Amino acid sequence: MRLPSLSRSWRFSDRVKLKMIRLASGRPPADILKILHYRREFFGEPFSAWVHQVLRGPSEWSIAERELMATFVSHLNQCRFCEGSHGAIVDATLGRELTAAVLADWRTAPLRPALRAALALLEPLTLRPGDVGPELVEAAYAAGVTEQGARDVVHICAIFCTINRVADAVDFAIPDDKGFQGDAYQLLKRGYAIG
Amino acid sequence: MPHVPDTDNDDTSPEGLFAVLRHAVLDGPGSTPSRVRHVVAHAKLDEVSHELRGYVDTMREHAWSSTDEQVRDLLTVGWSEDQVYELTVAVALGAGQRRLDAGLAAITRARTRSADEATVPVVVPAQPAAPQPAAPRPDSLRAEVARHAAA
Repeated sequence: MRLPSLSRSWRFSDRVKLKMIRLASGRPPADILKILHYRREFFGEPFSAWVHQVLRGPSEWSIAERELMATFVSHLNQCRFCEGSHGAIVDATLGRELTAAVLADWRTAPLRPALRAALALLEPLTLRPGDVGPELVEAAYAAGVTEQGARDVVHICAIFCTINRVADAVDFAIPDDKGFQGDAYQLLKRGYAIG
Repeated sequence: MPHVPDTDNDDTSPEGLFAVLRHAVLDGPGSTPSRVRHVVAHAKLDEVSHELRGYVDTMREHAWSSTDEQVRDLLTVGWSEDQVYELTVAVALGAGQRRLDAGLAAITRARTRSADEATVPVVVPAQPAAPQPAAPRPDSLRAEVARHAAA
């Protein structure tokens, strides 16, 4: 991590919590956890509350579909850490083949029409937000997406366009496959709120 | 103008939770002045100090290419790690908000277009009147009744 002091200045209860995670998993906690617990009122607490609501709260999108969108946005932003973290959840829920097919070419991947329309909206919104007009939203509606569903898609894009940048600027360490799988299990079980 | 609605009455909506986050990052207590965090979040590069400009631009447009050297340069000129962290989060959040605003604006425009289509009066072009079947003459009606009566 490029800012090493972020790994040291935690409140006492968080130091204990992160130590427990290290003991339980047998490896150091992921850098994202260190960042979220560093001065947690500044970023970690409000950010994780937003993420938990959007990725785990009520939605017409399944949890796996929302994780697929997270993986897709992270892939477009070339954020290896977030793509690997959320891709491991998609691998565990929808299957490794589907993750690979979407990242290779979402247009030909075997997806239901609403999900494909969501990815069609996410691509320009991530890469060229100034180009996004109502047409892509209307196309999503035609594919069966509701207005609330479209809002959820937009929030997922905003979340990952934020955290991808933090991850790359701070240079999060990239876990191996086993590490990603262990984190995916915890994120499926517990969600994102850091409490 | 941000398209995040005022959600004072719904703190659990995604929009409300984003507003809480934005306030914490840009206006909450920190080691950099709030004004500086706002400037970098909105990428007002002409107002950003020279040594920060390249870092903000990289973070906003292609954070994946940021380097150890860029961060080291900021620390060398006197920014603390805590300040670099705050500025990093502020720039990242600004990039996220740009997507949020663009996406919610597109949803609003789609709703407006749909409402406009629903309220436009349907104009039916004038058509020549279709020929109507000739009204039966009273004497033919009387002949019909007489036939039924005789049957």
